[in-house]
Amino acid sequence: MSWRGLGTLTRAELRRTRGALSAAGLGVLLGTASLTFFLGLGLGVRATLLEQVFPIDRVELVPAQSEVGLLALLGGRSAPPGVDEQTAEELRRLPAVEALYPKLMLRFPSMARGGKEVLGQELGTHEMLADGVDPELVEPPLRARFTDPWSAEGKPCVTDAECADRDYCERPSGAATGRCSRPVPALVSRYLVELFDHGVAPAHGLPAVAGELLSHAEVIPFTMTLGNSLLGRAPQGSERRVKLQVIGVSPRAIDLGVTVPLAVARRWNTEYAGAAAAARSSSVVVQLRRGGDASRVLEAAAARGLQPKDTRARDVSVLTAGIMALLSLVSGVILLVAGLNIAHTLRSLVAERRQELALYRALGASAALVRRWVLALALTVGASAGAAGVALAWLLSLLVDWRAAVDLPAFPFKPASFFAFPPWLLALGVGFGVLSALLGAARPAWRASRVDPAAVLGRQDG
Amino acid sequence: MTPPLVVARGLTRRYGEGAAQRSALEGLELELREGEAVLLFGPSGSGKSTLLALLGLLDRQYEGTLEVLGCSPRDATDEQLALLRNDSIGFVFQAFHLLGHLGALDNVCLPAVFSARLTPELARRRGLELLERLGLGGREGALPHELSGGQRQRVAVARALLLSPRLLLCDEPTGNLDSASGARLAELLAELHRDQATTLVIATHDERLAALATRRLLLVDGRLLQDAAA
Ligand SMILES: Nc1ncnc2c1ncn2[C@@H]1O[C@H](COP(=O)(O)OP(=O)(O)OP(=O)(O)O)[C@@H](O)[C@H]1O
Ligand SMILES: [Mg+2]
Repeated sequence: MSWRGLGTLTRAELRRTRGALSAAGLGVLLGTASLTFFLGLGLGVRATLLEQVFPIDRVELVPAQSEVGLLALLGGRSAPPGVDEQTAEELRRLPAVEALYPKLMLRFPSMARGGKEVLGQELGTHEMLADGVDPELVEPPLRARFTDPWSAEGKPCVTDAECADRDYCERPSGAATGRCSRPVPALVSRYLVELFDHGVAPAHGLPAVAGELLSHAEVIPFTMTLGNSLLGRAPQGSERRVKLQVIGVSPRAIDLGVTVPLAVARRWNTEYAGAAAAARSSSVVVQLRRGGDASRVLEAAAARGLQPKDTRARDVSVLTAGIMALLSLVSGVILLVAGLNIAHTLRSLVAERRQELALYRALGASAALVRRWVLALALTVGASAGAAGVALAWLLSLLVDWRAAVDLPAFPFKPASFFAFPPWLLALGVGFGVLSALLGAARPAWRASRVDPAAVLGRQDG
Repeated sequence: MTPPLVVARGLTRRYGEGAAQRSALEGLELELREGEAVLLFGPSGSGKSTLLALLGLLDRQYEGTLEVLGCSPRDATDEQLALLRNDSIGFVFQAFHLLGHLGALDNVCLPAVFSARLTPELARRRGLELLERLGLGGREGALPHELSGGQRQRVAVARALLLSPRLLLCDEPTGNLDSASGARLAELLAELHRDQATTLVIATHDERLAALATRRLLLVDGRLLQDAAA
């Protein structure tokens, strides 16, 4: 088998028949371009949704049939629903579980005000939601700054005025004196930041700088009033004010509200809602082992009355996967037509070249060489049209991203690019181009290898 | 004595199926030795081309036994047969079968495409030599349609000789030529046989080729009626 011969013949034929072969490749180009474009768009949008809007690398489990919301904060009589330490420990021992972190809602009313320093105007809410999470759950480098600032060595105090400039006097209800404390670090969600910058800030004529500030490791100080809100007072403890500062954006933060270190939430819950409210966590975040079987964990959780808090991520994946499948199907049809087109072109090529193929056979080409020759033509057409299609898809994506940046208004989670082109997608695009061309070429190649040199060359006409 | 180049025993080739089946060759007994120049005579349809296709390893659908250059076509792989055709067998056809889009030299060098034996440069050099020797010096760039019938057939002969075959098979090589070109080609083949000791098998109606023959075979209705030294 002469590979050099195959190369020589293929190059010669490509030069000779480039018109017809390019025309045949055009379909493959369009097919791979649309396949790559739509899959790239789907992946890009999905990545934005899953990484920014609904992260799913971990599963948060909450007690089934319970809405941990405002009413639960006010109820206070029955023990709030929660995950006790034993259940948490059982889940932690499941093989698929890498780590498990408790989360604790603040189970008493609170309010918040702040923002004057950075926004030039005070903003506040009469109803504040907050929870506490294990600092281990927070990604570095934020993790280092996300610690409970309270220390028994702090300077004794009664009012904030006795403490250093930004610090405050952490004096629990009923205590005669407190200790000066650094502001409690707080995390906010990307969702809240986007909502503020693209919703609240424009509506109030405020600078939309929250995302900007936090991305530069600035802090946003605010004060929280514990034990009282528009909807009522805490069953125990006395109303007091504490200082916090938002130190960053984290996917671990509560959507609407702030997230503080778990120890702080425990302390304040004990103070305003009783020891029982602090003992059980309101939910647990399960970090799955790489390749771990999530369904096992969900089963075990269900058996203990727990369910995933957020099914939006799954819904989003299912939805985007569905849309991508649909558009891929359309592209598949284009590629199918492209394959048929290639089949047609190669069939007439082989028919035209019967005498030539017979001559090649007589001069020393095996049937396999002739077959490979037709396949090599298809491979070249498919690969180059596929690569061109992928390149076209990429150029189109640049165009779309550019138009989107220029023409579309800023909206929450507007990504810099709507596309994602992982290497495997580019390979897939080219691969499908090659595949459709090769499938189209299969029959013509078989026919070409069946040309009977004795019958063709014996004819008297040249 | 060297072993024969070709041995055929009871060689039979049938075409068609069932009732429509008929033999193009029937029970052929034949041995060809190195250096022979065999003329294959016979009326139209007598099986000359059929025999040449079998000797040229282009056809494996026979009965009886056949050995060409030590190879039994029926038992060899397609790959082996292709290699042997490329390496050791040359073909000259009545219809020339040059590739119209290639110049004379490129046509001559075509067998080298399938050969690992000659680099493209060596093939070109040898091709030019052959064209020169066959009286086509300076015409290496000419396309087939720019050449006369006789010139085209000489290009085809040069192509058949490129890889120095041990067996040169010609099917009516003068059939499409005017008498002057035919005579010239007959001379050329005679010269080849004399100088290179190439083994020739030529199917023809052309008595002018008789001069070069060392042996004459007469086929009638697929049977070998006469096998005589010339
Ligand atoms: N592919 C084929 N299918 C069916 N019959 C065939 C085929 N090839 C040859 N034949 C038949 O076999 C017989 C021998 O044909 P062949 O071509 O060998 O004759 P020939 O001696 O070369 O004739 P000519 O002098 O006209 O070239 C003829 O009857 C022909 O019709
Ligand atoms: Mg014939």
